[in-house]
Amino acid sequence: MKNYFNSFALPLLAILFFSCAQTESTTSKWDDAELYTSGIW
Amino acid sequence: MTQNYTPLEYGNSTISNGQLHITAKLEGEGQNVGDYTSSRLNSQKSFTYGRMEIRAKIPDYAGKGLWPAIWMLGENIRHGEGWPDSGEIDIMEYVSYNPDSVVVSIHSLANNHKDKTQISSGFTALPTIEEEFHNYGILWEEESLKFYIDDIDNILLTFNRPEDYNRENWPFDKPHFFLLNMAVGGDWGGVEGVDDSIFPATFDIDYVRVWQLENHQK
Repeated sequence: MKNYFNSFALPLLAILFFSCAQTESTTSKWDDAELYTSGIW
Repeated sequence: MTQNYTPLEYGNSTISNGQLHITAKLEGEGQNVGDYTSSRLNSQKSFTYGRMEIRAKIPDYAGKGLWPAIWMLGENIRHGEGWPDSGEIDIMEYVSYNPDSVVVSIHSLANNHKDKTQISSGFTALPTIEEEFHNYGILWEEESLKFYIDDIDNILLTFNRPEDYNRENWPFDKPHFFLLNMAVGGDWGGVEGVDDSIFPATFDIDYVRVWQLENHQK
């Protein structure tokens, strides 16, 4: 039986992992930022 | 030709329905300096680093000559430091001679339009810019400035702090204040002239928001 897991699944998992990790790092950092509520003008 | 920025009582800047409206008007016969009035608002407060986001709608397209802008200048320009040394962050610029597009850029002593060395997105397509509100923002940290449209993951331009950074190529470690204005004509907005049929024209600003990371709050 051909080993599809090694030929396809690992590269796909790696791409998925790095894509998700990158998106999460950008978004989560700024989700924690605090809105400035004193006067700007 | 250029506009005259007027005091509040002239009605070039008004607030209604929770929005700021900057209106450029034709007051004279047209085509001469002093024939147009508009408004520019400078913030009292300055910021270093953070997520800055402005939700705004530029005027419906009617012709050439308008130059609305959302931008920041280094606080030091208020204390005698010249331009572009103090730094400039252009969060949104639009010139109506080139419709359906937006430009973001930075200026410093090392990179500025005077020397044609500015860092810029160039004209970037935004087909609904004249019809819809959009969110124009920056993610500003110690080592980078990122410009986004509508969503923080939709990055239009990234300017990383140079490895050999100094006051000339990275004045973006100092406070900057906001400016909201709509110019008429000018050395960029007016390169293809001003159509006098476009007035009055109104630039709407829904909000200006600033978020700061914990280590940047003062």
